Amino acid sequence: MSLQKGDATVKRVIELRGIRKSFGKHIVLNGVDFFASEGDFRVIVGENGSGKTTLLKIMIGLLLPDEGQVKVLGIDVKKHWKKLSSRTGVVLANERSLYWKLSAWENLDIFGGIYGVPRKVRREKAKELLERVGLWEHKDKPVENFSTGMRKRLLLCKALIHNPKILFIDEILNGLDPAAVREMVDYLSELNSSGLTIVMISHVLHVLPDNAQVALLRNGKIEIQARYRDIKGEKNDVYKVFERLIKGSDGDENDLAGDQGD
Amino acid sequence: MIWLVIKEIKIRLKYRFVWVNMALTPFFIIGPYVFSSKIAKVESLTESVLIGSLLWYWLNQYFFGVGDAFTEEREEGALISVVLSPVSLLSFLFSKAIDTFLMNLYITFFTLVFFWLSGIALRISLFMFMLLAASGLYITFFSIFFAALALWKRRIGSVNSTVQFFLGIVSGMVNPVENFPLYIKFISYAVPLTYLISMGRKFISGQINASEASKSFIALTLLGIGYLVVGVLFLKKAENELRKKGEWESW
Repeated sequence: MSLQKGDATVKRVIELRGIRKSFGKHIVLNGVDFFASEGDFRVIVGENGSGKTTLLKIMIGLLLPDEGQVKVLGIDVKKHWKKLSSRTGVVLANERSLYWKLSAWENLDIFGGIYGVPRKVRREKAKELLERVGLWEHKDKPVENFSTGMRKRLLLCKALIHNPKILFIDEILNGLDPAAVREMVDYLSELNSSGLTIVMISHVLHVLPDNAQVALLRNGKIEIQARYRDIKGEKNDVYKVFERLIKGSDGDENDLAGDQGD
Repeated sequence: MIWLVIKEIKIRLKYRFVWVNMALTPFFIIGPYVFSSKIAKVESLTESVLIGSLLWYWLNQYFFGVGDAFTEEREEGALISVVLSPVSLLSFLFSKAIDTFLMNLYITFFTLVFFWLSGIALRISLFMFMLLAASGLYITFFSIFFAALALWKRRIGSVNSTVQFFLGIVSGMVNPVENFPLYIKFISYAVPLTYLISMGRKFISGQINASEASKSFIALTLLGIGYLVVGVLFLKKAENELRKKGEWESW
């Protein structure tokens, strides 16, 4: 499906409609609609336990919704989730999803191989990624000796080794020092500018790119969608704004120039 | 799939003592069975126990390598990366089977060398090698069935060792199944290892002929395919259950 966005024709790459998911009696998602177009930078925010990771896992096929439709890159994810894997990159919060006994280089070589990236391309890409995230000089160290920040950077490299069309990220900014957060967001912005669609879950909100579109998940639904620059406003006190939005205590959401639901 | 095999080997190469352990442990585990059989001073009996216990050890390795594959990868935390990759769960298990086969060749070489040094020699002919290779394939099918069960109902993984010993006994690792009561024989002939041990023993004693070998292979193949089909169905069921419950990372 194509949409008109300004003058350019953009392709919708993620379409979630009427997503419901419960674990036992606990309703986590209660009719979520979520859309993203090619080249979007979407950030999902919400309180702990609000269902952000559940929503992300449904988008990548790891989790089946009780109800609703999930289409990513035109693929019915509920039925054909494996078809999606070579076209998307995923960074989950779990640092152990790397092979800790292997070096950074070996991890990228192995995962590149698993994703079918030819040897020459794989090695060039691994070098480019490791250099870009500042891990090149640590490429031969085992991942078990890496710091949290280094592992997160390597997780990002792993997710990008096969040139995905969409990047799904869960909490990559947690546990990073301020400079590392800034560098990570700068790199993600750079990737997004070059056409990569990004969907990211984050609690770190003060450094998001201005063009990011933020979706607030509350009470099992996406209640607010707005551009980051509109949320941030002139005061730049983004955490206070979000705190108020999450609590839903005043009329701030009415002041946001959101693009609700596309 | 081959990349997952390379990964296994690369990780194992980081632990040098694992190679020493793999070379020595089988000899110490099956040694007591084999040496006890020497008391009778009947060479064929010793060889018979050696081939039985060696094939059982192969099964053990497949049960750890393939049967426990999901649990092991979950504990490492990397199962989620495999699940998110284009590799299917079945291919993942086959990659573990190839790795186990290579390790079994290494283990068998050293085990036979140690027994030879202890005065017990097993003639490794082309037939024996093919039997070992075939046992790898059939036991892989059987282990896939167990791995799928362990993925679906993960508590089953905790009785892995018990199952291995049970299978060793009922498949005639030491005592040929012909000596068992009828109701145990019924279980024995549902286990692929029984046919493999029986063929190995008959070969050593020179009692096997082409017709008998063919019959055993046909029975083994049918049984193996049966376990593979049920295993694949269980695997699909387990995958759907995990996608519903979201328990890929639980163990």
